[in-house]
Amino acid sequence: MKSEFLQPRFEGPRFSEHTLPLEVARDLAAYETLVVELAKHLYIQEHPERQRVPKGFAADFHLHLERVDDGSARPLLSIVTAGALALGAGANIYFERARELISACVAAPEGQLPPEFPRELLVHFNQVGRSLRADESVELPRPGGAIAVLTPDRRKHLVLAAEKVYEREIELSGTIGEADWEKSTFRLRLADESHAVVPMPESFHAQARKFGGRERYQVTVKGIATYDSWDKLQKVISVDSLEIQPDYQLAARFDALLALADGWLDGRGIAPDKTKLAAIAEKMVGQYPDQLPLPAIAPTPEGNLLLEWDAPGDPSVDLHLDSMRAAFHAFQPGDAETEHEIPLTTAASWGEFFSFLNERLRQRPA
Amino acid sequence: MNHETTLLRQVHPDFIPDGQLTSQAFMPFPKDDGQLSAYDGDQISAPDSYRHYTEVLGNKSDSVWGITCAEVAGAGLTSASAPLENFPSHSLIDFTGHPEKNFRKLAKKLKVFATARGRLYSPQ
Repeated sequence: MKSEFLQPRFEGPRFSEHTLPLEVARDLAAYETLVVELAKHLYIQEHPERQRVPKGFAADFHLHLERVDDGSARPLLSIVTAGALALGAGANIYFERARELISACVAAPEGQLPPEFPRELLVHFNQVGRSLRADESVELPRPGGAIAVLTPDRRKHLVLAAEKVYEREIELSGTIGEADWEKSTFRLRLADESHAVVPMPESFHAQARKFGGRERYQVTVKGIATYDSWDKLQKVISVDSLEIQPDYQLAARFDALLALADGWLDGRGIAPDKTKLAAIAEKMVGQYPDQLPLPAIAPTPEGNLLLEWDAPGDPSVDLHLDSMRAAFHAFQPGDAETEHEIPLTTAASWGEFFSFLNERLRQRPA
Repeated sequence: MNHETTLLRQVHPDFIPDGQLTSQAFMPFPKDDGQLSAYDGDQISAPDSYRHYTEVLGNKSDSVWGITCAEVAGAGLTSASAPLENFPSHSLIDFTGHPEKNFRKLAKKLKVFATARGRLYSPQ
């Protein structure tokens, strides 16, 4: 047996194809949990003589995704039961009232939440709507054709009406600082020089040992964190994935160079050959010696690359992509100069190239 | 223009990756016959040259850097005013007295002077 329960409308670019991303399904599952908890609360409120709801009160309340209709994406959630509900039609009333009260809560003006909605259940909005992005919203239908609109900002304010922090999905990138093996956490150093303590699974310990303290290895953390009302990160509470990017500055630079198209230089400028560029990136990212300063890498109008170091003698390499010939130049004290050419046509030649740079490049005195 | 005149060079964003000025900003374009365009700093300020370059000419510039005519001469190059119609402050740094294979070294010398002086204007 099934009956329609709710058909919210998801708005935003991700829903324009009238489909529902799977991650949004988690929000719907969280919504189901909130309905059940609120229905229980409403029942107890009306039956003060009872300490708890009757056994099996919500056992048969299961929301199923029946279909997704157009405009933008409108999932139809239906109650599917194997038989009659434990309290028959009577129990249904509490779930339906919970549905209306949730919508009323979402639609309520700031600071005027419905008094029947218990503050302790506002914490459920940490999960309900958490997958929504900044340009997305979900509309909940209300009686009389009105709607309640849940946005990421509204979700945040609902949680903060009862809590000091709210949860949201994160994607943080930084370098690995010190680790606490007993607590299985590491300190993530962020670009703004702040840091966050990140829980890690044991399977990540080896990588944390290997890459900890290495400034050129960036870890990207995806998970859930708490933020305060000023959107200041408070704590990373769970991690879905940890991904290491070696030589992340070089990788980012090569990504930018790969995105160049002919005409990149104000209508002029040949874009570097993408196949050769990708091959060079493969030889440098993760292979570039830690002890060497990083080069600035610029494209040339002819479709070649310039590598230049902020180091004594202003060393540079003009890398000609057609011939894969690296032309090194550096000034020496007085009028002397160093010039040297290295063909980069074999895997071994890259090793020779790095060895040559290791001999020639020096850090500029601080 | 005299020896103390600062020549203003607009630097394309790709020539200053992560804020590190490269000598590519001082290399003549292949089709410019060894001539490097600049603004005569006696005639136009760094911010105004940026606005002219990006808004009137419609080109990209990350920032404005400068070298004096004396520094250009010190690098073994020459500079001269080269006014264009509606662009009176246009000037040129001439690389043509040198073989093309030496252009990189010369551009690096100019970059060293510009780096020592520091960025003259940036819209950020």
